[in-house]
Amino acid sequence: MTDLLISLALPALVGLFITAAALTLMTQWRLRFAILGVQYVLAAVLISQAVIWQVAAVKAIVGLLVVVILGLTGQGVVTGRRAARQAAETSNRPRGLEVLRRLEFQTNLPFRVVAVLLGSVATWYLVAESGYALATLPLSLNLAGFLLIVLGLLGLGLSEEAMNVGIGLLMVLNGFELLYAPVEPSLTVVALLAAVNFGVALAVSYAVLVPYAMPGEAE
Amino acid sequence: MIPAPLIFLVLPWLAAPLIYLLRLRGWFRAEVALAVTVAIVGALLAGALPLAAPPWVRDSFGVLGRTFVMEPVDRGALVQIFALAALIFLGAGLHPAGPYFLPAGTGILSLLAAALFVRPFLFAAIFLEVAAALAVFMLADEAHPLTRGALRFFTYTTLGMPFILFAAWLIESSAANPGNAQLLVQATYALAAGFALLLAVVPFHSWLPLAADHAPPLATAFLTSVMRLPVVFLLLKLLDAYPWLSQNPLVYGALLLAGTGMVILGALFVFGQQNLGRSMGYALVIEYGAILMALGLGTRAGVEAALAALTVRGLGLWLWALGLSELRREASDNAFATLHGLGWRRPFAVTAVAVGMLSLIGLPLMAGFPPRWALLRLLAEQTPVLAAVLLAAMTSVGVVVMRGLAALTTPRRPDEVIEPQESRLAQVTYTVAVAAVLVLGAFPQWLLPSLTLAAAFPRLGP
Repeated sequence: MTDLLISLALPALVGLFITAAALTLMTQWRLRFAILGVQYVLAAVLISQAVIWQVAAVKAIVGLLVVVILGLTGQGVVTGRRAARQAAETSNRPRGLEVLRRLEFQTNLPFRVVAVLLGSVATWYLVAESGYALATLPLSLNLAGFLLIVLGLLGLGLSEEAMNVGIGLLMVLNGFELLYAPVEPSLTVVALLAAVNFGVALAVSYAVLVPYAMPGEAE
Repeated sequence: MIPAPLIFLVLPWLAAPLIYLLRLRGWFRAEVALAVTVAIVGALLAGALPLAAPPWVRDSFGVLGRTFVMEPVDRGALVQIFALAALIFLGAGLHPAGPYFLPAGTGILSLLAAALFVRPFLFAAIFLEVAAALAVFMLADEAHPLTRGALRFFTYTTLGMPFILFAAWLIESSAANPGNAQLLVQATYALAAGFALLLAVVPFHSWLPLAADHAPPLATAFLTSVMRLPVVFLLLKLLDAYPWLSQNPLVYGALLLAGTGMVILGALFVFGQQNLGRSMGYALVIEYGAILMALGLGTRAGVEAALAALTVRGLGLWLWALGLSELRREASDNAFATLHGLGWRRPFAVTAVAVGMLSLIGLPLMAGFPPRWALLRLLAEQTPVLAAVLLAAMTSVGVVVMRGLAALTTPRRPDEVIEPQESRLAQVTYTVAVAAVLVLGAFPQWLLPSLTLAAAFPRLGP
């Protein structure tokens, strides 16, 4: 089992780079949730080099549950948008300048691609050349951890939309856990970090859904 | 034997779902009563419970290699946390809050207690992070759907946690390798970054004005008073526990610099505000800055001033939140233009808002004055320029409050006749609260017991 996991380290590292880049470049929620799930599994494979595989399995399961929470939230938003669209069509049709105000200007793809490449090169330099890597960890874990943190921060910087913020935060936490789990093997900390992941997922889900809540429901 | 810390962890956590169930059943008064009762019981137990009374009570317990210990120094912080929470929950009785306000607030109390008790104490960052996640449920609801401030606060807390945890690991590694001084240098940098994020040091302050404007006022008060206490106590415990940190003059220089930066930025940005929420946000930036300045002095008197400010600021914030919640019943936002003339319709609420803000900035005769005066004196002795900067920042907030009062007491039309519309209960509540702020300003010695907390941090100072 251990030999198999070690042999998967390089493919997992490459996979993590691809998933992190895809999460930064893509906008479709469903696709991003699937990619995030894959990223959690790959991170667990990589982390199993440094901790017992049961802990890695727990982290993968926690990640997949987080993705389930986000997926259910996405489903709720689709329903909310549909209801809001129907209401807008009947009573609150945007007029004149209001149409312009509702337009969303996305940061374009070439810029994001360049930013991802710059972030990746900076991570490589940070880990392999400048000596900021954690000496007690293998290079692959250092690279993966720092890459997820850098690209997660990039995602946070590029958008203030709640779901994007949530995915960025989860990437940063995932990267942090890659670096931290091997140096802090306490089961309490593993459990608490799992709680943190669930906390992030729930808080972000609430922030995503609250604009679709019907006014007066709480009264 | 019952571990004393366990009581504070379990009691709010058990009550939170019950409070939510009461809300679901529509028993609003019962919901508020239970939340207030839990907070009051917590405050009383924190003040009176013996830490070790064999065979009934012991002061610690362990879970999977981590220990939760209740020490005498935690008593004061716990009393303040639970008492302030009780006041804010009571306010929710006067101004109905969102469905998750009270359950989430009660659950957070348990996490804040855990943050105070956990050993090694840097693991408090994890509990503060989970508390921040729960706070998002308080900061947005159906009536306040804008979540930018809540998400920024949550983002900065989440980003701060890894730095603190890495610092804990570096400190442990340093204990195992005493010859490697580089580890402690790295730990110091990690702690600086972590606390800069957690304490909203410039440029990580942007969530404060956003949250103060977008979130329900009572939730803002909870976030910026109750939830800030454990962060400051964590910093104090850290300085007290590690001589390599507390005896490093650069640490105090950094605290002073961070505090001064916050005070200057807050003063510049608050001056042009035309919004009661954002004004409070920047006033809070100044307030946080003043507390960091007090700690940065590196003296026992500075720590006492910071602890006293932490104690009384909650009262001003609570008063502001109560008054603003009342005003928001009639206004869609906190802009002065929207609130025009409300001073005549709701004079007691407007007085509460003004007195709350003035107490926060430390106007004479208000509860916030004694600690602010103490800090100004200390700064004037050591660095008069910084005292002048702080005084200018206080004046800046005062000007905005006066401008706000002018807008609130000016009717939209000169011939408009406005009748007072406040309920008798609201009038009595605001009167009592304003009187409490004034009485505490007139008799500051009533606050002195809180200052004795500083005695529990004997190793602070370079």
